Amino acid sequence: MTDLIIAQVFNGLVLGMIYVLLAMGLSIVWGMMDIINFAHGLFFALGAYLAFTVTAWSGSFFVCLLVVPLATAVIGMLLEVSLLRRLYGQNILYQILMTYGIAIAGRELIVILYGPVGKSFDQPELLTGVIPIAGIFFPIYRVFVFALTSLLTLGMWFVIEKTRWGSIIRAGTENLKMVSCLGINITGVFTLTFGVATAIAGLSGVLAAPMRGIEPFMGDLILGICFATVVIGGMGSFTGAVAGGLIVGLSQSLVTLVMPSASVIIIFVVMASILLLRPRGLMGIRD
Amino acid sequence: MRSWGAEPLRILIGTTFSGPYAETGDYVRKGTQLAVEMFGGQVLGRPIEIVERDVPNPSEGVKKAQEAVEKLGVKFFFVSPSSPTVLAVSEYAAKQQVILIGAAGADEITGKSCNRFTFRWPVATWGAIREVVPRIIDVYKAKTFYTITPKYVFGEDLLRNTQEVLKAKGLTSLGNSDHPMGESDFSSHLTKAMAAKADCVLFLNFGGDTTNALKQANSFGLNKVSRIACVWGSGLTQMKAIGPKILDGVIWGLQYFYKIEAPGNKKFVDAYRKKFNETPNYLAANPFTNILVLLQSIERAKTDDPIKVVQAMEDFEYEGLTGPEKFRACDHQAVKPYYTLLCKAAEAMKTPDDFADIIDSSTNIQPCAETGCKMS
Amino acid sequence: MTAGEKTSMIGAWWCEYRPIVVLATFFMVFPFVLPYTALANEIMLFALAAVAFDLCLGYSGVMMFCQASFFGVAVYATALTLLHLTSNIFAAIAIGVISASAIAAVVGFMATQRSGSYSVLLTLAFGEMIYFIAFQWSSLTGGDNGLTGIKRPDLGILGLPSISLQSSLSYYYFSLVFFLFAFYLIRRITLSPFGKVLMAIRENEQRAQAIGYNTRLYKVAVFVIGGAFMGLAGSLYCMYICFAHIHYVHFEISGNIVMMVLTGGMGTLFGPIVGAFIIVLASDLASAIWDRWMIIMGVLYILFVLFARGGIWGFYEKLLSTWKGKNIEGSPSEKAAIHS
Repeated sequence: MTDLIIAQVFNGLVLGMIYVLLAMGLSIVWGMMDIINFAHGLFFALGAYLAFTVTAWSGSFFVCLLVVPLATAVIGMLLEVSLLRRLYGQNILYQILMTYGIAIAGRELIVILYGPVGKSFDQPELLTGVIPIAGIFFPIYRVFVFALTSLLTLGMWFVIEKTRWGSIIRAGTENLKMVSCLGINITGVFTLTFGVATAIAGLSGVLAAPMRGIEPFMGDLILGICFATVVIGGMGSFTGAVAGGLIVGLSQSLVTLVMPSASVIIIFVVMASILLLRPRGLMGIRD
Repeated sequence: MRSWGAEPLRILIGTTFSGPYAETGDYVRKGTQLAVEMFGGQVLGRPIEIVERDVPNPSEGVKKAQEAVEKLGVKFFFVSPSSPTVLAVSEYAAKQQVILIGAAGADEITGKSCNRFTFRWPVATWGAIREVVPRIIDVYKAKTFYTITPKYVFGEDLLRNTQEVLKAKGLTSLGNSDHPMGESDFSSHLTKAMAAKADCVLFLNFGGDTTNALKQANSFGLNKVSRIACVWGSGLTQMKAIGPKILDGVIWGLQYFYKIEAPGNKKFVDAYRKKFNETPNYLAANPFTNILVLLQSIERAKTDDPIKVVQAMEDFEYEGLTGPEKFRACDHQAVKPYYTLLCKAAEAMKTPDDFADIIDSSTNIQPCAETGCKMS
Repeated sequence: MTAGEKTSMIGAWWCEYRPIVVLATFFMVFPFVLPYTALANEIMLFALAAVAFDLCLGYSGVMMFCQASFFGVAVYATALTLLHLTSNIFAAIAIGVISASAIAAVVGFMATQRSGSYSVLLTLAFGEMIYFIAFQWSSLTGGDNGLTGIKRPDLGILGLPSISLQSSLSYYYFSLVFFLFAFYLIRRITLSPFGKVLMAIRENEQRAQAIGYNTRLYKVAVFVIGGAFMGLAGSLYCMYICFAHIHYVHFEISGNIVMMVLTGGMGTLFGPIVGAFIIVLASDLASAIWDRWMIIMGVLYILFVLFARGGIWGFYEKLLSTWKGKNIEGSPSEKAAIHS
């Protein structure tokens, strides 16, 4: 039984780290730019599909890790400049409507380009196989994902805590008006921030593709979990995104031990509870 | 050659062109086209018109059925592949007295929800499980099983039948893990399966879920611990998506495989290959055989009155894809075998489609009295 | 009464009831314009749900993603009533509406605990939970198979011979009566003092509170009223399609209703009807023509946000005012759009 729990904890952590990546992007955009991005899931899907194309074209998975996030960043920034910029400060309704429209249009575009059926995406040859430790099998690929995402998270932490851009993000999440009063080019920061958020989202799609496959609705399905993660962890908080992601990932895999069909709804129950009892989430800065 | 001015005979093809079973639609279209072509393009001197509609959920199914009856005067439906959709349309079809041929596996379609106007070709879950599971027990000497089941009513049907068969043989299920619909991450379920260390892990899901599950099972190394078996599927398309590296050694239960040795099948496979340049799978075979039998029955009944066509279809033995088949009168279920296959390694494949060999097959059908079908 | 008084009385009556008369005339002719009658039922019942939601969003500024919970619960309640309790059509409708209102009261109470995006997310979470419960409780709801065997009752009023509602057309006219009555009620609400408070809450909730209104109570009330009418739509829908299924409590239904109100023009009551018409018709026709018609929907939403906040009805109102040469300081739909 302990074997099973250890294995599930590992699964939960790997899954959780993917959610952490997604939550980081969503949280920064929501906390600082006050934009509810219903198209965040789309970038997850785009990442996976672009990985499919880039791997087919270049023959290597590792190339994707570099190229795809750049591509999704560019797409994200283009969207921000052309469309999202007009929504700052406006009613959330319009943000929801527009980003939802982008999500639908993007998803349908994927179907037009790649077909309605999911694509299978194999793990890179180098990373196939399992590491048996004390009778428990740890897939090498998942260990790799865990290692890479942890490194990335540490990197992001460093950037947010120690760099100028990071301090602008932190300040902007707390008090946007003040930041622009200090003479900082908010427009540029916004675009860059959105680009970073979509880059990370794209990367999480690349990493998730060999684990869960690729299909056009994968963005829609993960969006709800993304929102729940940010709410649970606390909007605008980096540590909140990490905590939220890991909690959601672990909850899903551990609940599967007890009541497998409830593994998704438990997240919504937790989200609703947090919203009712402590809306700023575990580590959020403001309600 | 079209008859001038004759009102076309319309058949509604309700299938999925979008959503999780989107690939079905394309194959259904191909199978239907071939059937109409082989029949000569017309019946009772009237041109045959196929009306295609996307029915991704039961609600759409009923709506499109309404459109077909009210606007187009359609009297014959073929709906595939989801059981809930077939059940919903079946009720409507019976009310409107139009024929429905449903291509889905839930027992109750020809069981407690049966009616005089609904026919079903694929073997129901009852019969499918009673071929595959005993076969695994006999051939692979498996005594303990672990099941992974999708949380659909259909999945629960497969599970219930599996548990009945195991109990009858005095064997144990070491456990079951339900997964929610469209689960993309099977890691937790696979971990549980591997911890159970069963002789055989049965995947009671289908479509994209099975494809995902098998690939992830491979990455966890499940085949080092247990034999892997799938009890339902579309066959060739899934096998192509998964690949022989992962399929090697997997046991699969199928309604249809192109290698079936029957004169009806040989004709079909040859014609399909010629027309579409690929080997047919179950998704195309199902509409092919059903539309063909339907058209033949309409011709024999000499009318398109559904009540008379129903009588022509019941208990009529025809040369089908699996050999002689018929739709039995008590519940309109086709009497045909289910097949167990063993998948092979890449080196053993003689042609690009040679993913598996048929190990055995049998026809298992519930006695009329036990199906719960009360045909009015 | 002088002739002048009579004319002005008639004039007043006409002003008051003109919208209903126009609506009634349109909808009575409607089924004959469409390719098949069942489609008319579909459009009308979703129009009802959309108008109900407009009361929440367009007039009160209350956004939600749980419309399917109210609509779908009513579908189930009506189905279960007809299957197990009685075949009295009015009882079935009543039970459907009451169930939906009950759910709306609970969800509304909890969602109004917070405001803004948090409130919306709460409704999203509750919508998902209700879907999950409907899916799991398959012994009650039939799970993903749904409930079949529902018989559409005939109309039996005490003493009179029962009228058959089995044909699509007769059931359409039966539902139409409810639709027109519901529309009239909702419109009356928007024109009443209660409605004025709702609009005040939409414009500036804090100011409304400062004046002394218990805004939370009003918002919960709007949940319940909107939920009740969405439940009415669901109830009638159940008997139109004679089927109940988890699809009707799925987020997709909520999303569709939101889109109907937003594209049609919120805060207008007529806009959502246009929106329902467009969305139902588009999905029906378009799926036969091009599988991927939804991409056009996605692009349209983006364009609407950029250029036509008032939706289609707002556009029509603008045209009307320019044509009439009047200087209207802002059509109701745009007012609603800006201030919510």
